[in-house]
Amino acid sequence: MGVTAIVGRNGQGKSSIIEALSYAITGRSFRGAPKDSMITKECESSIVRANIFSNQRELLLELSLNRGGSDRLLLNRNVTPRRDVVRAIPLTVFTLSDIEIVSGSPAHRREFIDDSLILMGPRASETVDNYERLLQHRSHILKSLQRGDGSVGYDSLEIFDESLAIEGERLIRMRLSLLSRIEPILNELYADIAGKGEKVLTSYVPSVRTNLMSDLLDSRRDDIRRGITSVGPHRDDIIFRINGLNARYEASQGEQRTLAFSLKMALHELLRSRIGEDPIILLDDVFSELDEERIEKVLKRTKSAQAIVTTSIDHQIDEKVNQKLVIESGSLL
Amino acid sequence: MQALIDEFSKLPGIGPKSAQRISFYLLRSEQGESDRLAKSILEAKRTIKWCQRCFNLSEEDLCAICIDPERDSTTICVVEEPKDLIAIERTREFKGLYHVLQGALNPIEGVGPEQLRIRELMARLSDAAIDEVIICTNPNIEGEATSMYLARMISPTGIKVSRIASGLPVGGDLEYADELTLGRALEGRRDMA
Ligand SMILES: [Zn+2]
Repeated sequence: MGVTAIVGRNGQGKSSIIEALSYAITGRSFRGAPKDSMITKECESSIVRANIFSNQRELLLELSLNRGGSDRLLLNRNVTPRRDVVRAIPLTVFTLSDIEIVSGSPAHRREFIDDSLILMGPRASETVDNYERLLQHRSHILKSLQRGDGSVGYDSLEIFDESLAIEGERLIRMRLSLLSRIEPILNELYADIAGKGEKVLTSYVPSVRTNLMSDLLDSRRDDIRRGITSVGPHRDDIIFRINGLNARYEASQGEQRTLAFSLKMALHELLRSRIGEDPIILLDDVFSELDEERIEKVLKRTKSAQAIVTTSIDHQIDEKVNQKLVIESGSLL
Repeated sequence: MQALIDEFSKLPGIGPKSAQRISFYLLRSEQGESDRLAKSILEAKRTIKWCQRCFNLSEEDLCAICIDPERDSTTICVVEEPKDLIAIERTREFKGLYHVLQGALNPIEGVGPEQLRIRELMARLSDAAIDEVIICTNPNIEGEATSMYLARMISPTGIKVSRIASGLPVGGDLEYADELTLGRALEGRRDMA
């Protein structure tokens, strides 16, 4: 338990350490960097090996990334599906780009809520994956109908639309249920960090007008012409309001940052009550955008967890962390 | 050498690297080993074909199950692949006949109803005295869609349609279900029409 700080000037490789760990668990970079950039130039593969203490268990996680080939993910030396690893080693990652959950396009908010659902259990995780796959199936059917050739036609569309409507409505129900559980924790956290009397409301904005099946039928002709599915949870949005004002447009950058942090922290606390232990916390360089008082509050919140923090600000954190590692030119001193 | 690697790369589940590894392995191995492999492939291709009734693998025009007089010819279990048939046979719970679709609906891969043995299934249902069709497609998106499609096609005939009950590992394939679970699922099948 406790906070480990990795301190170093920019470009020394401090983020690479937690990016490697996060990549091994989630299968993607929290900077949105492509897989090939995780492999040294002129090398064919890279390997991450991590001994992880999580949920009172010791786990050995090994990932080998292969350029142009499929990757290998081993948990305790057994090949393990990505989704199982994600749920076996819950992780909360904070980065500077989290602000986009509040300030960015709806896609960022959908990604946040669906990534959160994946951690909530196999059924929720399956629903997210099924919906995504059904959308891909539908887009292939639409394109085949558009070309007017091919083997997949209206009878396939009938069947897959029915599945899409069922999984899509289930996904919406799951998102709503998760949001309603996050909201009270979010409020408590936001008030704690931003000050008392601040009220945060979340509302879900569906693209569905009546029910998904009939909307899919209504938009079928247009969808075939455009080759896309125009209605469903992949077109929905979430609005966060701080004291009645839409945070995406009307909050200051500081408020947006605090709200995004509180959201991730609320999910973290929800996961803790579900699994009985804090997920591992990774904070990448977030202190550069927070004042001293907020840094203190953030660190206080992460105290019960196992947290790894990267920062280039050395002096502010000395007495607040349990362990400090200094990094220079890619090696720990 | 490259030709050999290219041929292996075309096989399902084998990427360029594995293809290279297998090719080098065969080159280093004894002559007898590659002779046996080449002979088995040719032999299988020459002698094994599809059963003309159920589209299972067979060495004759009709497979051993289709010609077995002990099997209950009023019930047909529909599966995606011969390997699923083998998994169900291993449970010893099912005494009827099979129909192998040779796949599942999969628009991403361009597979529609026409690419599956669905027309042949419908022909069997109209010819013979069949009371029940049990759909045992895989419990994933494609298997469920195929099952829905079949139920819709079969219901107007008045033949009873049931779907293998879940209790199978979620999102898993039938071939990985342990035999006990699969047997239990067959007992607990639910009506679809
Ligand atoms: Zn047969």
